[in-house]
Amino acid sequence: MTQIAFPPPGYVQTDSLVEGIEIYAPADETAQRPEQVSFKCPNCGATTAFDVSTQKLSCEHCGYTEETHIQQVGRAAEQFEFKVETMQRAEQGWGTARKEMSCKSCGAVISSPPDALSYLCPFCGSNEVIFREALRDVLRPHSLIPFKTRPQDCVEITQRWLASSWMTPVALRSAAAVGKFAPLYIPYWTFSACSHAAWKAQVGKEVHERYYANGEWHDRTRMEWHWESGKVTNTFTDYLVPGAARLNVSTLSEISGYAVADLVVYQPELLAGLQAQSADIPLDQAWDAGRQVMRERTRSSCYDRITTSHVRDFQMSLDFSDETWRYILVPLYTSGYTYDQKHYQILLNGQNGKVAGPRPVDWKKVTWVMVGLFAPGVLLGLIGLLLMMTQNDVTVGGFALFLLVIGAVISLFIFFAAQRMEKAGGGA
Amino acid sequence: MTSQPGMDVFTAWGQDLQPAVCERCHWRYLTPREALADAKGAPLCPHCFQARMTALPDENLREGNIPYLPELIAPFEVSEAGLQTAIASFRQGIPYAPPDLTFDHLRARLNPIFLPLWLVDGQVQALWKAEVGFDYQVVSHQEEYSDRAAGAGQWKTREVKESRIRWEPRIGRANRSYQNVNAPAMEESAALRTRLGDFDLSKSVAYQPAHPIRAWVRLPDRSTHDAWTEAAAAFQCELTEDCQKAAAANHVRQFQWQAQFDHLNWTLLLLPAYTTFYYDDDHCPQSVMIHGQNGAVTGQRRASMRRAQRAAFILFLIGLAIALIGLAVGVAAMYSSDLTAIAAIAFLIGLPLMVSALAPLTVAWNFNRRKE
Repeated sequence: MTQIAFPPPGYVQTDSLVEGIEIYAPADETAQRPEQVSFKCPNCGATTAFDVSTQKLSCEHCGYTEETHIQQVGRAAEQFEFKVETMQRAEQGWGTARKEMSCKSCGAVISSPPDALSYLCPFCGSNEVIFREALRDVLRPHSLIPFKTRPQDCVEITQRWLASSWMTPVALRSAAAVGKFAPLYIPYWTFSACSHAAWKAQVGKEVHERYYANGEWHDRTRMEWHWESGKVTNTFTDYLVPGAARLNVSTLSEISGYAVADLVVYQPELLAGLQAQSADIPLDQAWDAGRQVMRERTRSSCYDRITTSHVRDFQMSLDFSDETWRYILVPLYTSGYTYDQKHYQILLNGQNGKVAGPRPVDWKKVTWVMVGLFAPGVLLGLIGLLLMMTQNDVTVGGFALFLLVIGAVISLFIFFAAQRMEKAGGGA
Repeated sequence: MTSQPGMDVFTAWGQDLQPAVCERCHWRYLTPREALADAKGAPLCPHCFQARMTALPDENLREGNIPYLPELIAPFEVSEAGLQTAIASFRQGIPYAPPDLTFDHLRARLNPIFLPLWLVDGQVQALWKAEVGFDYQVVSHQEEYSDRAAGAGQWKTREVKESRIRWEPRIGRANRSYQNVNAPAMEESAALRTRLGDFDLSKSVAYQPAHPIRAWVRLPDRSTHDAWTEAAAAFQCELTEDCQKAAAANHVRQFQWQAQFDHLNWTLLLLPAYTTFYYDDDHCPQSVMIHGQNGAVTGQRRASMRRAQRAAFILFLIGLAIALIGLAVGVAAMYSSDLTAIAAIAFLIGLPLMVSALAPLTVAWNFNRRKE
């Protein structure tokens, strides 16, 4: 046996059920840390906050900066199994009770919502990050994607996005008053699993045959059915499901595309001065949504293996294995802009700079475009009508009808796109 | 009972026992003194049954400074009926069993014998490390899909629970005392255990000198020094189990320790068995052992090739005689055709009988081969 150094570093004594036996277990790192972490400038005592631009803790008051310990883990970030106890806790949720925190700076007792991971003291403005609980509880985030888009770039990105569509008013980019961008961490669940499917179905093959009836030969097509079966295994890695129910799902999906490879280990410094929300969509509900997508994709994979398009009695059994989940925070900017005395809310992906939100539509411009699309068909239709009446020629009339249909289809597409843009907004 | 250097062994055993040895197999025993003073001569060794026992001086009752002190004894528990059943079952099913292998012989030659096992008491102080495992369950899902009419396009989800083990490192200190940790006291302990099976040690009782031993007591031939490796391993097993309990774990693996032992005390546990024997074809005694607690019987079950040869020879002779009669009748049939049928029948009986003479040999050989 190798020499045992005793007591070993990093181990703490735990309860023993047998007299005469002492037990030491690896220390729980989180147990030794304070539940709340406050950020104060060592120079001037003002509050420090995480600066997305420099990726450092900085003091706005005196300019002091402090390095942060960002540990990038990417896809190797800690994953969890679907333990029975975790699922039971996830079903129970966090309740509605608010959390009482004592501000380290001014001593004020702050009542924070249970889903808040960071908090700004309303009395002294100090940053409080609920840390210990976050790491000890598996149903709290253990990793996050840090901000990559700098706040100072957000206005320009937004203005570019506002001007990126021809449907918006020409003056939108210059006339829109873009508000301040508030960085925010929102929760996401990531799911990984293997799906093992066994399928069988009756597949039909067309058989062409000739037969003789009523004194002459005829052709007919007959379908021959036979059973086909197979097995499919799909691996799903880090499928993302939003954990925030309060944000607009379609807007959120417009700016999605978070790269899990950028995950870093959760550190309180990364949340200092930023808003962070915990999930209000529970794990079991999110996993149901994730599993639905996985099983449908597996079903499509099974269908892809069927040799014809004629299928009936399709059946499959699917077994999930190696299911794991992660609870992560992803960066987001929330802001808005005012145009023509109307306010529009927008979201900006803090990692890749995608923007989504409603944009005003210049309906006059859109209407003229639609009119322009209909015009060739209408004009040609009139000419065709004349020709039909004078020369009994329907060729031009037919072509006009074709142009009208094309114009109508494109116009409808533009109309719905414009409507969508006005309501929620296309990403950029 | 603690061992005290220089202690009077007979005070410890409390009975008039005589050490004896078999000069052939070198098994040493303690036996009631009068057993060796039998008028018919010294008894046969109850192990090899090939030599008579020779009395030894009394100092053979101790190993160095440690006397062979009995502490526990597992009493014989097999009833007379149980013994008879065991003996009968041993004899049963042997084709062409050796002539000496009879119920009466086995029963008459039965010897009760106690087999020794070291019991070690000691205080263990150790630093240990191990991985302890905790059982937990995870939730998984199985899904069924069918687009048949009844459940068209419907998914049916079934939740399944799977058990897994979470391994965690632990390290610690132990200061425990253990009583009656087992260690083999005979070179043949492992082989005998394989033959006889395990003993239920929980039925052991304290050795009472007042209760006379009416059996051979086999003396250890493994010194405490030699048995220490197994004893230390047994101590480790005990401590491993205790550490698992202490950590409230369901499993333990990769247990390592640095241990120091104090207050070691070696005594004996006596395990009950019966021995008997039968003579095989070569007049060599074949040992048969019976577990003293559950009556399980073990020993060489061999068919007698000599008996099989005799049976084969008789069959062959009968067949040959009938065939010869058939031949003679056949010669006579050259003059009287009426005898042809009789000659044919005699041949038809005689020749197969001659061939079937191989059967006893094959059966006996095959039985012995399978037993090997």
